[in-house]
Amino acid sequence: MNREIVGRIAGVGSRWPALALLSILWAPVAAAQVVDATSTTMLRLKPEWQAGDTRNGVWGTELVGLSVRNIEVAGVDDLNIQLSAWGQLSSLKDSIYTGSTGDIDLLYIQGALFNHHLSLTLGRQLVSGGAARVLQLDGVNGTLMFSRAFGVSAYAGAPTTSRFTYPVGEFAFGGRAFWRPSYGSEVGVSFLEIISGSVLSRQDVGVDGRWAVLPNVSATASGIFSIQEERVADASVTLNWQVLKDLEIFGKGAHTSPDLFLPLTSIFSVFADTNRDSAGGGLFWQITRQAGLYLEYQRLWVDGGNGDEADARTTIKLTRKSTMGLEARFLFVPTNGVTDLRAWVSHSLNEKIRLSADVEGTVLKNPVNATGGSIVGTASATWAIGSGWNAMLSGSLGATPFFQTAATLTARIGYTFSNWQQKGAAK
Amino acid sequence: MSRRPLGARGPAILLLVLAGAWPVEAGEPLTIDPNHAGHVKAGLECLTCHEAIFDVTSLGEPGVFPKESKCLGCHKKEKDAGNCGMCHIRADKPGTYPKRTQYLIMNHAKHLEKDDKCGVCHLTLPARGQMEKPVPPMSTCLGCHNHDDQFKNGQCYGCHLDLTHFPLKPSSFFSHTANFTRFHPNIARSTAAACDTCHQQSFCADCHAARTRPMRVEEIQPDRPDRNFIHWGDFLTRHSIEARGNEAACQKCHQISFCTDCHKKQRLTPDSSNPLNPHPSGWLTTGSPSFHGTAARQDIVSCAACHDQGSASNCVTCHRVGGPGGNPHPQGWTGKHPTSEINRNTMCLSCHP
Repeated sequence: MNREIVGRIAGVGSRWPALALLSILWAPVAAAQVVDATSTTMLRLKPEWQAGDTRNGVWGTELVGLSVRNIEVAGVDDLNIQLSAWGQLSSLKDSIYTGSTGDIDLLYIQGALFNHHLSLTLGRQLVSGGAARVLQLDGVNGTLMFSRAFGVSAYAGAPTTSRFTYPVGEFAFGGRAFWRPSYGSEVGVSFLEIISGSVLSRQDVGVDGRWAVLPNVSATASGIFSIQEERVADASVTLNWQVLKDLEIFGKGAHTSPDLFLPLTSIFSVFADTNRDSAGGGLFWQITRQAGLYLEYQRLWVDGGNGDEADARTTIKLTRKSTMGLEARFLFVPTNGVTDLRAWVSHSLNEKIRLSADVEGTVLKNPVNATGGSIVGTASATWAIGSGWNAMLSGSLGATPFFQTAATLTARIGYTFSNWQQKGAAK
Repeated sequence: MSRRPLGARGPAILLLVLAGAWPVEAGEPLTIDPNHAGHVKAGLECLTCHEAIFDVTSLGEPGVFPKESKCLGCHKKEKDAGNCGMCHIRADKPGTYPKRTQYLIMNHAKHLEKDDKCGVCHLTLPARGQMEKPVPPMSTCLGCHNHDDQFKNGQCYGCHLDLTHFPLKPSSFFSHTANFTRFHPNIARSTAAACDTCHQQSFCADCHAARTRPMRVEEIQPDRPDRNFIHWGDFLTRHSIEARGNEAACQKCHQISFCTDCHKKQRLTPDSSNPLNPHPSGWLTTGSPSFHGTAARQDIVSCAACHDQGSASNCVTCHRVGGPGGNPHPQGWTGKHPTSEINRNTMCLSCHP
C-alpha cells in the first residue's frame, strides 16, 4: 500500500526536494505503531464556461493521504509523519479550471522533545493561529511550553508557492505567545511578516482570545493590526450564551479593512482604504431531539452604503435513517443582492448504502446575462463496500446564468487503510 | 496500577466544571433494561452474567452483554409466560442489544487481569427506567492512569475515539452544531491546539490548502449536503455579490491572481485577447454616478480582481505622476508613506519614476 502511494506521487511531477524529504522520512515507517493511508480516485464530467462558450471536459483526480503516528524514537514523543498529495489529468487544454497537474498539500514530520516542552514541525504544513490565520508554509514551526499554561510558538519559511497563482511572498516568519489556562480557553499575541522581492508584503500584529467566562457563557475575540498602514485589518468579537440546555444565543461584531488583505506590493494597495463593519446576532435552538433551528442576522456597513445578511437553517431527523435540511440565505449589499434557498435530504438504505440529494435555487436582485437566478439539483449514492473500500456516484443538473443548462457527473472510489484501532486496543 | 491522589486531577476537574456532568452516553435507544438492583439483592456477582467481559478487549465488541440463554437459565418461566416486558423495553417487539459505536479505547480484559472487582470503575449500577445509563466518570480512569501530559497537550485521542459523545458546556465551545463552519475561523485563531485534539492538518487541508489544491471540497464530497460548505451549489452566480458583502473573506484564501486568472480567460481583463467591457456607461466620466474613481474608493478589491497586472496595470497609464488621472492615494497617505519609500518599492516606481 505504502509503495503504491509513493509510486503515484512520483508520477505527479518534479517535486524532487519534497520527494527527497519523503524518502528520508520513509525509513521509520516500518517501525511505526499506527499507520493510516487513504486513496481517493475521482472521475468528473463537467462543463466549463469561457467567455460565452460552454464545453464539456473530463477530469481524473487521485488524492492520497498518509498518516504515520507513534513512531518510536528515543527522546522524541508523538513523532509522526503526515502526507497529503494529489495528481490530476484533464481532457481539456487551456481549461478555466486546473488542467493536468498535481501538487503536495502537506508533507511534514512532527514530534515533541524534552518531555513535551518543545514540539517541532518541519516541512510543508499549515500554520494556524493568531495573525498567521492559516498560512501554508514550507518551513519549520516550533512551540515551546514554559509551563503547563504558557508557551511561545515561532515559524519561518517560504509561503507555499501556488501552482495556480503567484506567491504572496518569498519568505514569511512570525510567532505567537499564548496563555492556555484550561482546555479550550486561551489568549495570545502574535506577529507575522511576509517579504516579497525584498519588500514588505505584509506586516501584522494580532491579539486573540477565547474564554469560557461562565460555565454557560463563552467569548471569542481577535484583532489584527497592520503595522505599515497603522490601521486595524481585521477585528471581531463573538459572545455565546447557552440560555437553556437546548437554546443558545449569540451576538457578534466585526470590522475589516479589505484593502489590507491585498499584498502591500500590489499596485491597488495605494488607491483606497476601505472598511467593512458588521454587527448582529442569532440563536441555535435544538427544538426536539429530531429538529434544530439556526437563525442569524447581521447588519453590514460597507463603503458605498449598507447591507443586510441573514441565514435561517433547520435540520430535521425524520427517522433513524433519514435527515433533511432547509436553508435560506439573504445577502443584500449596496446596488445588488441575492436570495439563496436550499433543501437537502440524506437517507441510509442500510448500513452500507446512503442516498442524498439537494436542490438549490438562487434569486438575483440584478440579473446576470439577462437571467434572474439559477436552480441546481444534485443526487448522490454512496456505498461502503467494506474492507476499507467505498464508492460514490453523483450527478447534478441545473440552469444558471452562465451555463444555461449544466450537467455534471462524478464517480469516486476510495480506500482507507488503518491499523489504529488494533494498535489502540492493544495499549 | 498505582492509585493517584485527587489533587493530581486539576485539569480534569477544570474540565468537569465546564462539562457539568461527565460523561453520559448517547446513541441508539435501549431495548433491554435488566434489573441490576434486583440481581445484586439476590446476591449475584457481576460476572455471573458478564463472564464474557474477561475476553473483551474493546468497547462495542459483540458478546459483551449476556445472551438470552444466560438469562433463561433463571428466568425461563417468565419467557414461557410471555412476560417479555420484564427485561425488554418493548414487550410487543422485543429486540436484542443495540449496536454501539466504539467511542473510547477501553480494554476490559487487561483491567480485569489487574483487579476483577467491577466496582472499582463502575461506581453506580444502571437503574431500571434510566434511559441514559451511568458509565464510569473520567475521574475513575485518572485515579490510576496519569494522563496529565496528554491532557495539557490536548492529546485526547489516545483513549477517546469520538469526543462528540460528551456533552460539554457551553455546547458551542466544543461542539460543531449550529453554523460552526462559519464560526470556526475565530475559534481556531485562538485555540488551534483544541482543534488538534481530534483533527490532523490533513483535515484542515481539505479546504485550506487552496494554494496547492484547486478542487473545491464540495466537488470531492457532493454526497455530503449536510455539511455547510462555503461554495455549495451555484456559487459562480453568487460570487460577485458574496465578494461585495465581504471582500476580505475571499482574500483570506484566494490571492488576487486567483480572480484575474479566471477573469482573463473570460476576456474581462484589459490584457486578455479581444477584451470585453464589463463597466457601465459613464465609467470614465468625472461626475457620473458610475464614475470609476468613486467605485474604486468603495471596492478596490473588485478592481484588483481584473486589473492587477503590477506596473502594466492600465491604472498606471493615467494615475502616474504627470498623468491625467491625478493623485489616486487616499487621504493621509503621505503622512504614513514618506517619499523615501519610493526607491525601496518597485511598485511605487511604476508611477513615480
